[in-house]
Amino acid sequence: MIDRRDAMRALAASGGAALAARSVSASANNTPDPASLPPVKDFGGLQVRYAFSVSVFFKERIMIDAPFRRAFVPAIGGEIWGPRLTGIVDPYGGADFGGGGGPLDAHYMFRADDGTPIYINNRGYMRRVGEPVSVERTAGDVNPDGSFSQQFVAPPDSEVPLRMRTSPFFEAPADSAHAWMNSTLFIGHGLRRTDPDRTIFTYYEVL
Amino acid sequence: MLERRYSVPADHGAEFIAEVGFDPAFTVTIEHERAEAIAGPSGTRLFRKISGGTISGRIEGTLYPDGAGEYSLLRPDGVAEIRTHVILNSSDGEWLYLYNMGYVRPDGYYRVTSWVDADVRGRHTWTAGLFFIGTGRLAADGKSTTLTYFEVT
Repeated sequence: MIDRRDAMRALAASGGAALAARSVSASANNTPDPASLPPVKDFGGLQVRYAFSVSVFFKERIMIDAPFRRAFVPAIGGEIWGPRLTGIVDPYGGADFGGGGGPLDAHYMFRADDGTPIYINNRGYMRRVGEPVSVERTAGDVNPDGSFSQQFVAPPDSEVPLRMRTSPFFEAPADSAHAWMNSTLFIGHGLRRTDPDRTIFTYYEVL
Repeated sequence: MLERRYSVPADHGAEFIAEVGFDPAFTVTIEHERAEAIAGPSGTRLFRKISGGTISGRIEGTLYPDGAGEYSLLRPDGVAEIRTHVILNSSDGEWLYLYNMGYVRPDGYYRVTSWVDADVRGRHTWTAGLFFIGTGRLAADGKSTTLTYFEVT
């Protein structure tokens, strides 16, 4: 909960503009009644609370075997539901541009049900459970004519248990009801599902 | 409400609200100079030159005092976006890199996500690819910051 006096004092100290004062008070005013939200979970000093879930649907999977490998997996759409945000994932509003199978670095867009666009940069990792760290990798074969395939297929969840955790950073309009996301840390848990090809993210706000 | 073109209603089941947990990882005390402010085009960049510090817990060691810093951006809404780059010497003789990004709010909320890069030949490869969540506090004199980190499980 933002204390108005502290916020105004900090703004005065930082020479904040009238616009800033409006956005801070807006986020304070939009803090919902805690009683209406899921319970707070405490982990020895770190507290989190379930905020919302997101399903992101996929189709294309392109691998660019650069010196530091990069995969392109666009978000074809999806849905957002939960206590603190509802809406959709903007169809083809972005993609994961991360390392493919390991480091995630996704940039795409949410669209809240009130029409607000929200940018997400989702950083994190996918890790095969129990597998040792390896830096060795090999690119696919090159055809005699110099061409090569850059398509890849994600293995089914049942064959390769993955631990996927993310730390998303959001940018929502400062004067919107979602401005609280601009200064809140989140933790994401990703669950891969096939048929249809998608990931279900569970997001907790770090209190 | 916007049209749901991509939706699996069964995904909304309570069983898909995944549990997450946090294990204590390490504590870092950064010794630094007081902030130097740069009024830039997108806010006020706050530079804090790192002069030393310690890490304890699942990684033990010291902060290399020469050539690292915090380069945070104080936004017009009074929230600072933390960006800290740190080089560590572990007590077992390895160099590690720590990067923090997160938020400091006027209400005292100081939370960061952090990445650690360790040498693949060394003793800290358990950190590879992981990120950590840290809670921080800037000392009243502005000359040190203490962060307590958790691994996300």
